[in-house]
Amino acid sequence: MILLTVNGQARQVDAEPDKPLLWVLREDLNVVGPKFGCGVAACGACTVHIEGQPVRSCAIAVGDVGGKSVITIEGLSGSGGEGGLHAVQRAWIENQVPQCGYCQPGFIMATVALLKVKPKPSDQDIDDALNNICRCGTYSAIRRAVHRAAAILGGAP
Amino acid sequence: MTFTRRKAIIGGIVGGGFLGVGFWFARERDRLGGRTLFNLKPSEAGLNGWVKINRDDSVIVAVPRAEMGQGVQTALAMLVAEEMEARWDQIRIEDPPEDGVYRNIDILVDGLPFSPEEAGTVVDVAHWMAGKLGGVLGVKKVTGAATFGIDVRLPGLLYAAVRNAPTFGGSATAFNLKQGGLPEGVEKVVIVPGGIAAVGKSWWRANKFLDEEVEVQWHAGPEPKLDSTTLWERYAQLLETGEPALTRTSGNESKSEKVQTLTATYRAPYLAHAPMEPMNCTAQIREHEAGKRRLEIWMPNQSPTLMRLAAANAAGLSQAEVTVHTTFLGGGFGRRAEVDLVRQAVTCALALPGRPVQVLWSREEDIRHDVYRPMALARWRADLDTSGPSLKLAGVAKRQVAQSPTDQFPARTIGLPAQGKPEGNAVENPPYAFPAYRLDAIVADGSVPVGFWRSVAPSQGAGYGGEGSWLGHAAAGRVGARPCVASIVRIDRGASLRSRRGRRQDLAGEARHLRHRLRARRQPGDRAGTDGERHYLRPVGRTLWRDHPGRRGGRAGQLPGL
Repeated sequence: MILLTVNGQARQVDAEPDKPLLWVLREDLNVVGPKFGCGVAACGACTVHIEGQPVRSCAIAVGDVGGKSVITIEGLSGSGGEGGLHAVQRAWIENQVPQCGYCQPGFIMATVALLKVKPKPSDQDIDDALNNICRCGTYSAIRRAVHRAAAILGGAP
Repeated sequence: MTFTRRKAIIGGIVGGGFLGVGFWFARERDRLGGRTLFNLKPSEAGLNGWVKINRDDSVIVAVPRAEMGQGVQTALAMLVAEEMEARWDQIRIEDPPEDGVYRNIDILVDGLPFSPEEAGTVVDVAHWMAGKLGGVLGVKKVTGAATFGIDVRLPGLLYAAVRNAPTFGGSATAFNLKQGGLPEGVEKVVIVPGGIAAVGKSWWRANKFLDEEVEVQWHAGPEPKLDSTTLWERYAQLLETGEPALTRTSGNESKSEKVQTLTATYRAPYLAHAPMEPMNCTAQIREHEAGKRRLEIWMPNQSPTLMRLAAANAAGLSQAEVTVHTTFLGGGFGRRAEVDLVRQAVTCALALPGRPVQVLWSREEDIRHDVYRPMALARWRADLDTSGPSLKLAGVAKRQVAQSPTDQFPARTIGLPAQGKPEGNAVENPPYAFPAYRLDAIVADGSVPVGFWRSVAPSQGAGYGGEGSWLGHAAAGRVGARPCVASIVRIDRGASLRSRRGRRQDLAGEARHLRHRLRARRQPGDRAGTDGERHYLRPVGRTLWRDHPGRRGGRAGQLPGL
């Protein structure tokens, strides 16, 4: 048994310790917001936070996450509902970022982590930190939305 | 209360009045569908198969199209809202039932999964409106709540990993388990069309099991030794000596004797679609009464009609016994009009009756077993009339070699015989008003599977190695001391390039690709998409200037002064 905290809830998992966290979330815990895209930590669609750090969950064994706190896209907006969206999610909607939307949970999680360490990121900071892959090509919309999220978190309405 | 148009219509239909009846008779012969078609609830009145109105004054719009990032659910709903003068918050969308009126006729008529005519003003208006209104999908797609095919979860769900045959067109004939038996968590190994699947409680475990514990005997495809070098040699020969499957000419060739000719050869490699969501399909077969089975499919797909047909054939059921649920698509680009996944999923479901089985390919399988955008070799020629004070483009000719998705797609999906025809649309519709145009399209055979690509013809086959790059390339060149740019750019509806060096451009009158390029230049540093055009749209070697052999060719893919 491996114990971990997922989106604030204590969870017990009966899985092989070398099973990647992504597959534990998706198969054992029915948390499907983190997406499978490549399986080799290249595309970032599976990005979650472990102890506040952005991590590509397809390439970390669940055995290494024991006792730690995992936040996925589902846990970002707290209880959800009206007005319960995170500033980054709001900025994403305002800027109509998603096209197919498959990669966006990963981008959003990576952005939340970026804005914690760089509240006012430059374009270069964004390009460096968000090296996820979007097959629809929403990169320029993502950059606009990151700046907007930074503004919201900085107190803009 | 004001008497709205919607109330008049709902009153007319529900009360049996003339308005609904008149509306209906006027439209019966086209593709609107019957007014009871759209899953009517007691509180709803149908206008036709596409729109119904609820007593609470909401308007429900049928969206039978795959949502894969193009915003079709938002766009179709907005059109209805605008026509009916409804507020955006009154509009809802629903999946309609399976019916002929919802089918995409294009795919049946000429094999194209969607219309390539989506550029220009309409797209811009849609973006503008979406910005004003907010997409209907916004919240789901930023909270992880959108259900893609890979997210389908059903009671008792099993997952299947797949290894496809290492050579195109190959198949698995037998397998051997190295450990002598199945490990915990893997329930069955199933030979599926084109490969082999391991089915179990964890996809990750099943996938690892295939790598480590299964030895497969493969039946090789028709060209097991195929390689790129051989293919390019074959294409180069076809470019010189191949018989065109189709020759198309338009306009009149120049009668001037003072014509200088500019040629370039382009080649494009095979490209995999690589949608972000790896290929998947979930199938479940159930006996609902003695001897009677039903098959359900959950799938991110671009053609539910085709999936239903392929699933019914694979299961030996009638189409009426098959239901296809189309989920969100994590990218489609033409790849998800294919039936390979549905056939594999149904085969697994038949092997495990009663259990839903989700077949999922690894990214490696996806890249190795795509239906690729065809590789292509094309030679372009521009004839420039030098008789006047300024150069004039007199004509353009292209000779190309490529496989044809239009040929392959109906053959592999529904078994129609190949017609030997090139990709249709770009052949019929060259994007520029060339004074004269000639296309010689040679169709190459080959066992590499090729498929549609998101903009369909304009980005492949006839179009690829294409007009846009060639024009940009030609425009960057010179004949003698005279730049070609003005004569090349002016071919499109009188568009003018006012200053070669300046950035002031009249966007409205310019060719589509030029507008696109100008926009792209205005967002410096924007990352390119992953289509690969930027990397591959380069002429092979130098442009050949027949009258000025010493002169270097123009800069590929760049327009001067923009």
